[in-house]
Amino acid sequence: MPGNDDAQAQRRAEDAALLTRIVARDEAAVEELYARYAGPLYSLAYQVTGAERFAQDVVQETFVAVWRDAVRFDPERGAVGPWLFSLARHKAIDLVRREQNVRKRTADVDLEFEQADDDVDQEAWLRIRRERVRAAIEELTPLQREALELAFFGGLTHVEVAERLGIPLGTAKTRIRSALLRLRDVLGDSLSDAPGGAVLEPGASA
Amino acid sequence: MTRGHRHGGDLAAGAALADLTPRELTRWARRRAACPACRALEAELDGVLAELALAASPRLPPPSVLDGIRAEIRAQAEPSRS
Ligand SMILES: [Zn+2]
Repeated sequence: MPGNDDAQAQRRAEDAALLTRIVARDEAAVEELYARYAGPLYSLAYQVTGAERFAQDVVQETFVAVWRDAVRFDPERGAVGPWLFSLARHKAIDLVRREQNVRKRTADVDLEFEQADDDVDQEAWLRIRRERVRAAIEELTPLQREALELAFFGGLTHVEVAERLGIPLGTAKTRIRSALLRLRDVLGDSLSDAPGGAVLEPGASA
Repeated sequence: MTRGHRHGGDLAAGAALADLTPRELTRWARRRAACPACRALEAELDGVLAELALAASPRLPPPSVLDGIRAEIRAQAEPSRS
């Protein structure tokens, strides 16, 4: 869908402009970036940590880190969105791994995806892309999906995924890898919002 | 395009999920430095994970989170006051 790609490219350029302003110490730009991403980052952090106060800490730490480390963001390596999600996910996983009592590692990880209330889902791009990635997840085999969700949303290491599922480590790695590659293939062009890859690096081998 | 990089696939997935041993990390750093296809794969998988994050059940943080961010940013801007 070309219209979608244009909108995505537009968003990406706007995000990059906000980062430039943040580097220039413009506090208002942080608030604009927050308005764009706080919801999805909080949702991710909640899914990983399973607790509101931890999700709040993750989002706060993520934006403070953006303010502190904006100069370290390298646009050559990717877009702002994936960088933010990566920051937040790592903070959430650190929290889960540090605080054993956040959620018993043996307990069920909540991998049920809920639908959004309209008032939560104010942004159309978010709803469209959420539906798209959820549909892509449906394309995975149940075994791939289970392993990937434990690793991604559960914050489990590959070793822990293998233990949890009672499978060899190699099998766990294979399932997770094949799930990621399958998602890449299914999502295909819609990953243009993602880091440079084919877009930015075709000449990198020269 | 990633054919012939089976190792790269495994390492790239581990790298994207921040789940490599130190030895694997060294191996992956060497591989990605030398191989454009591995770099492209890493970027693609980062993108996949960013999309995957959007699958989470949608929620909104309370306003206190933004207040906390403002406070911390101000504190960093004027460290002498804290
Ligand atoms: Zn390679």
